[in-house]
Amino acid sequence: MTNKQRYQDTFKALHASKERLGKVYFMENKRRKFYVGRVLAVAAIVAALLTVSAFAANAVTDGRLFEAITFTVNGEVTNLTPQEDGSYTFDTKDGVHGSIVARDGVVLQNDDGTVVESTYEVEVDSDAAVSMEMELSGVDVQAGDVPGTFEVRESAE
Amino acid sequence: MTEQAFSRAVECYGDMLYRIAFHYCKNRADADDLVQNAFIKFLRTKKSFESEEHLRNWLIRVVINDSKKLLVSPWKTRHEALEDYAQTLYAGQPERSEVFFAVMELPQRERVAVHLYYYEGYSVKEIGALLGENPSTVSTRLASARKRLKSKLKEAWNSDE
Repeated sequence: MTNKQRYQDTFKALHASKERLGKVYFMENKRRKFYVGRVLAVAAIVAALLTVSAFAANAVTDGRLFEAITFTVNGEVTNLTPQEDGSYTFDTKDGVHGSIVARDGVVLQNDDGTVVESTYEVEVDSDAAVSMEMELSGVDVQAGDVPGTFEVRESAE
Repeated sequence: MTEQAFSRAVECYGDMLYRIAFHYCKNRADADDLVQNAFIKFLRTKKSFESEEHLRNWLIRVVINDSKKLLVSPWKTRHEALEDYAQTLYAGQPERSEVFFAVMELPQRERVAVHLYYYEGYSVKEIGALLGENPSTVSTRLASARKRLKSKLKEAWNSDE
């Protein structure tokens, strides 16, 4: 018998735990579902809070010209907290802290300081970035210091 | 990845990875953890594998790297009496038990090189690539391991291989 045969005869008796490895696929799938569920739960919270403002904004801005603005928060929002003044503060998973002014459906201000009414939609991308789409009733919108990507579309006639 | 593809990988490489991990840590629980971790990484990786050999070498590299990390970790506290394990593996087979203990008594670097050479059939050059070491270093380790095994196992180990 060669050394190789002797060695293989000895160590072929060692086997991994099939029971443990059999669970890996299911455990990993479960973890993924939990992660997606958590992201959707965050999105649901964001949407629920901002929908309140959307109703108020619709009531005020009915029949006026609108401009669409897309605001994207960079990263997964982990904490969205309404403040006493009607604004919201939030934190992202990447450690960004920011605020959104949203008093009674008002999100942003014009140059002259007058407020701009708005409605909102919130959605979560596959990479967990939170997007918020707003329809505003004015022009010359100030983004302020809201973190993320802010894109103003052409205003309608 | 489908469950079928994953199961096939486990079937093909699970025991191989376990043996390599065991040669590093010398206990069942850690070896099973290391193999499980390798397959979790396999499920999570976005890497595309060009061939079976590519996948096999990638999995081995994962186990080797994680084993090395485990051995230097201050949290490594698991120890197992090899006699108990050998008893379950080789009851009534003293020759195999003898080889098992002789290999387990080798220094860790020699032990792993010997396993990759004699069990997995890798060449010295390939072992060097897997372990991140110079082939001449691997040759030296194999020569030293053979000498020790011959000394321990006497006529049960041929000196010319």
